[in-house]
Amino acid sequence: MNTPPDEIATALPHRRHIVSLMTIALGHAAIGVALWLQPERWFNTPSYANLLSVASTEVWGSVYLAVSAVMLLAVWRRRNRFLVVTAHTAGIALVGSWLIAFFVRYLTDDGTTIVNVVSWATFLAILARSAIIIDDDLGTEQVPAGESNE
Amino acid sequence: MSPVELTTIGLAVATVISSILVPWVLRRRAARLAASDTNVVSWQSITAVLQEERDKLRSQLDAAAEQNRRKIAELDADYGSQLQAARTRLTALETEVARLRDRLREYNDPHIYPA
Repeated sequence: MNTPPDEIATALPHRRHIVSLMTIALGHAAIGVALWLQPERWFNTPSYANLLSVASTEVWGSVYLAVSAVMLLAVWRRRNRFLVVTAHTAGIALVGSWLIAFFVRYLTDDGTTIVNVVSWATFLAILARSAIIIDDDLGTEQVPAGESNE
Repeated sequence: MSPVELTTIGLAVATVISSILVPWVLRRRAARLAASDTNVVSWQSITAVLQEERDKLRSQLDAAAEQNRRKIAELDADYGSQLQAARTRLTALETEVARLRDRLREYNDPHIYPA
């Protein structure tokens, strides 16, 4: 089946960072919901002790859900560059700060492993990769009249 | 400094650095991509070329269709008038045949033309 050129231009390139962003948004939403609904599990896991000393599970859960909401909004309004960049920035800030927290925990506590640091670094790398390809995707995407790229 | 304090500082530093660094890096990257002539394959340019080609073909097709319509109208008009003329002539011939038959009947009538 032949695909009209207009559809090729809008269907192919911009999907890469949007797929990453949607996956990450769902991940954030899952963490946010879990922080709200299962606080005891988080308190019972020593790795999160420092983070939960800084803020409660409700606060962290709200932050995760808010970032997830911004990401999902960016997925929906994916041609809005400002929104997409904001969503990635918020995600990187949140994941990056948790990575720092796990790194501090790893350095200050002999009872922890490197696994959390590696896991969150991987999470951050996916988010960073998604952010880097935004302009590859948006720059090559055909923007219909009336929709802004900024 | 306690681990919690270190964590708090780490969270704050990571948040501030990310908030500044990420938009800055992305803005620079966007500017570099925009300035580069050897940008990744531009789907916009491919689409523009394809659309131009499609418009050209569409206008050619429209022109050909219009020409065909005109030709058919001309043929209709031409054959229509020829058909009308043939019908008129046929009617005239039928009238003539009827008149001749009447004449023939008169010639064969012994009351009019006795042998």
